[in-house]
Amino acid sequence: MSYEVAMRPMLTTARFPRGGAAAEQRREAQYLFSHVTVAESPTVLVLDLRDEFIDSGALYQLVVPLAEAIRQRRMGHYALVVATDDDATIEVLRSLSCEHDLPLLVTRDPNQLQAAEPASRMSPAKASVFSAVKHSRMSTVAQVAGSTGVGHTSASNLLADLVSQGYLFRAEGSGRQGHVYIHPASATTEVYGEDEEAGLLEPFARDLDAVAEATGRPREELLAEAWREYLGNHSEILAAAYSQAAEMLRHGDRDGLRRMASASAKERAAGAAERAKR
Amino acid sequence: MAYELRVTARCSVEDLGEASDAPFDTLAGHAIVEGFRNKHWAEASTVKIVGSGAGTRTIRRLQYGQDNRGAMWMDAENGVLWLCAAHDRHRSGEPDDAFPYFDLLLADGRLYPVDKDYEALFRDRANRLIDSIPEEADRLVSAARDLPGQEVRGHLGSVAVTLVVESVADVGDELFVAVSMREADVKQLAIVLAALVPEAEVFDAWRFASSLPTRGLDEPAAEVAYSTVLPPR
Repeated sequence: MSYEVAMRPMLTTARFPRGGAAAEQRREAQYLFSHVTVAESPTVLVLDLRDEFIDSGALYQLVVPLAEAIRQRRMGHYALVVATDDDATIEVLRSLSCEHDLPLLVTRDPNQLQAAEPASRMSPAKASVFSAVKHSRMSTVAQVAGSTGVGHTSASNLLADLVSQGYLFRAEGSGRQGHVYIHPASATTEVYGEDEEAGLLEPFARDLDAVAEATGRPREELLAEAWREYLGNHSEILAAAYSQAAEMLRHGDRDGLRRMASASAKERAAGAAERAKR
Repeated sequence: MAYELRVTARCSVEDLGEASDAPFDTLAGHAIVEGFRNKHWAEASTVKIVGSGAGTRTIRRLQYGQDNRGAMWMDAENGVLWLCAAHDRHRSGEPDDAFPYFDLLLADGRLYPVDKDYEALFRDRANRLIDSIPEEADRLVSAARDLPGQEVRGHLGSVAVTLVVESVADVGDELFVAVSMREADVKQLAIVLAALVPEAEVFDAWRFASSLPTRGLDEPAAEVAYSTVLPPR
């Protein structure tokens, strides 16, 4: 799997509760908790609590054991984000986070992970470091130290704390390449290699800027590497497209060739426009 | 690197009063687009910017004549210089001053190109690729065969290709093709290879190449390379 794709956490969203009385919600909480599988790769789990009245006991039964398991790394590599627009629920989550030392991030919109804030209060230095990673989504120690003014050693320690507490992920560096710290907002639902071939470039391209910034490697170098890796691993996709193109060329099907050549235009455009906004 | 000149759909409709998909040649009837096309911006001795964006985000001002002002963005990733905004009644410091208007567009997030601008760009480029075959593809292969061991560079549409033919004893002419993937996708790569050597009916006729006979692959161009044996002339 490619370097930059490997660095993006997967995004999983669970809606809770699906209505029902308190007792039913508590059963649902237990069921949901028992079905959260161990994550072998970094995963952001978003609990979407919006729209339904939530029983406080059910909330406790779901969030506390789940967040404790995440903090203790019993569930693998998770970050837990709770989405709710209810002020009272946010207050309860803050209390639970402080009381039980839970790594909870809270956002009002599950589609705005960038806006997710830790439920418990952090020291100003740690909050500043967390905010710096959030801003760039992926950062090295040197970048965080540079943007926050915190010393290199302190930044390194604070980042290590944030990783161990479950607020950030870390991609291990090697050689001269330092560790890269990753904010949950960089999570994606896209699974590299499972998309239509027309859009295969875009999963790479969307993250190239952030990866280039985080690693100090030129964007073009990452693009070249990504393409060679992709074509080396998925020659069957190129072979299928080649057969299609050769057939159209033999039959002079220029309309078909135009459709084929522009098949990814919409997907690529969406990615390019997104990057133009940054 | 050569840049393509384009006008954003918003600029075309709101600033120039034309259709969102008006061809560039139609828009060139407007003085500011004429100045844009004539690379008036390249001659400016001073660089003035709109807003505070720096680096790759910098929006540059275009001045053409007394009345015409524009805002341009060099989109290095996609090889496009965009005309993002235009104003044809500019009077410095007066209500018709162009620059507060540009600042407002920037503040409202309406200055940079959006989805439909990019979709039009990628569709145009796809059409140019198809327009270039088979003639340009045939010409490039023929030129490479005429100059064995030398690089022949060209474009199929906007896709940059480099061809090298190497004569191999008892085998024949082997064609190496490096394709820049900066502006191509998998299907376009397939079309390029199939158009260059239509005699190679299946992809198995091609081999992945880690370099050209003349050089390594160009990283900034995101080149990938393949080779195949050409049929006898």
